[in-house]
Amino acid sequence: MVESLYGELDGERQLAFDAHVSECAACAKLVAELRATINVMNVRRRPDPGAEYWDTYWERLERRLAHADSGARDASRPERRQLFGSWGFRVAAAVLILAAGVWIGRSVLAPNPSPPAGGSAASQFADASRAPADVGVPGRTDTTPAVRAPGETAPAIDPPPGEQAKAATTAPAPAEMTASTNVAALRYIERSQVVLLALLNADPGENYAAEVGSGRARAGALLVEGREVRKSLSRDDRRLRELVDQLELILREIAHLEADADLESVEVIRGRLAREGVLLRINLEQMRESGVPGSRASTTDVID
Amino acid sequence: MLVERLQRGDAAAFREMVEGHKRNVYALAYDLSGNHDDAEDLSQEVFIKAYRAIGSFRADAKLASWLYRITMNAHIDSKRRKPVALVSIDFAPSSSDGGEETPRELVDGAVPHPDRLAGRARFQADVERAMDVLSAQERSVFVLRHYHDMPIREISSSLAIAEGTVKSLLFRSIRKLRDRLSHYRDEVGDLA
Repeated sequence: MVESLYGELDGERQLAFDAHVSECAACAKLVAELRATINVMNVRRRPDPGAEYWDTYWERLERRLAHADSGARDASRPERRQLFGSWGFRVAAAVLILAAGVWIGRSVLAPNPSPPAGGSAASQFADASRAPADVGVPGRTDTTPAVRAPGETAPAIDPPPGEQAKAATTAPAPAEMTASTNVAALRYIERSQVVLLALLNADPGENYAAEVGSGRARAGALLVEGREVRKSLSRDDRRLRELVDQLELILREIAHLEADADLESVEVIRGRLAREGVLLRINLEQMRESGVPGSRASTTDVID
Repeated sequence: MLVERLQRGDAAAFREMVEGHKRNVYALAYDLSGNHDDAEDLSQEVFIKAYRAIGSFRADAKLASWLYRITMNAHIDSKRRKPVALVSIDFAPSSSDGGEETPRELVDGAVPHPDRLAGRARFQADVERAMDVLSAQERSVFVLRHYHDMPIREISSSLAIAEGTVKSLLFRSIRKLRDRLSHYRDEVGDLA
């Protein structure tokens, strides 16, 4: 009907429509009412603001553009408030809390396995907080120490120390190789996560340049490591490979920040992190790899 | 070509685009928002968005359609942020205020009597109120088809919704307007 009212029916269909309306009183009444309404709407006027308004339109727009540009540079705080107030971040926070709960449950409440021969609690802690270089990533060349947030402990995904010592001397079985590769990838992802969080939380102030500078250096080191990690990943582990690829792009952006990076450049990276849900993907991948029940299905739902 | 210059970041080309499209963008913004202040705000927001997103503009598309699409999306976003909109009723239309005449008025060319002016002001306010009852999507579809002569197929592509949905939204809009403005149906001649 609306096509007919606005003359969008071709000749044949319009004829068929008219034939029906001429025989159907209800349709005829409706068409007449709608046509009359269209005529009423034709009488509506749109006032023109006048010549002066148009003459100064560009000047006002130019001022607003300049204001918007300076606002974008100065708006890191409000944007971050918006970022943290968004649903994406609420979901990410919920997932993070859930992952932390599962992690604590698994590492604290789970029954303790028999301690490996010669392994004290102190030596286990030392093993857990060891740099990933010690885990035996194939082809790894740098010895960057693991970066951890204060008070953070190693994730419960490390193989027991006894197995690590064995792995250093005997050829690993395929399953062990995959586990070791994933451990290396997860360590790499975890350290990247620390760099991203540091960038996200860097406050403009006295230490801002130092914080950004430190992030650049760490990102540069992680880029080198990331290439090796990627090579070692199985083709079947599509999600992990995609995440490593995604991290590589973002780390490259961070590594290429200018020494005196302005807020705007950092905000571009922050915006990208938020848009692409990188931190959420990291959390989901960590949950998936640590075997949280249901996390595999949820990862598929969210990312695919 | 203007688009190529825009994509190269040519500031003069941007101004050229604004000068060439400001009236149409403002008109659509006014039709969508129903008042001058929001139309001014929306139209300028459109050009700022266009300035920032010109790199994503496909050269094979029409610049005007692209600007329309930005306008509609910005309007729908603003309605989400600000669900209750106030309708301006304080405008006093007259032939001497530089107002844009509808085609019917241009054809008639007569100077209206004061009583008719008052009646028309009331009519304008009623029409704006009636349009304000439409949802953001209904209003977008209606004003694009009715006031901007955009065919249903083009609206469908611009708003990224199915043609059937466009027809349905258009039908619902006209029916809602019919219910709100039924008392004017016989007075159209007097108001023009």
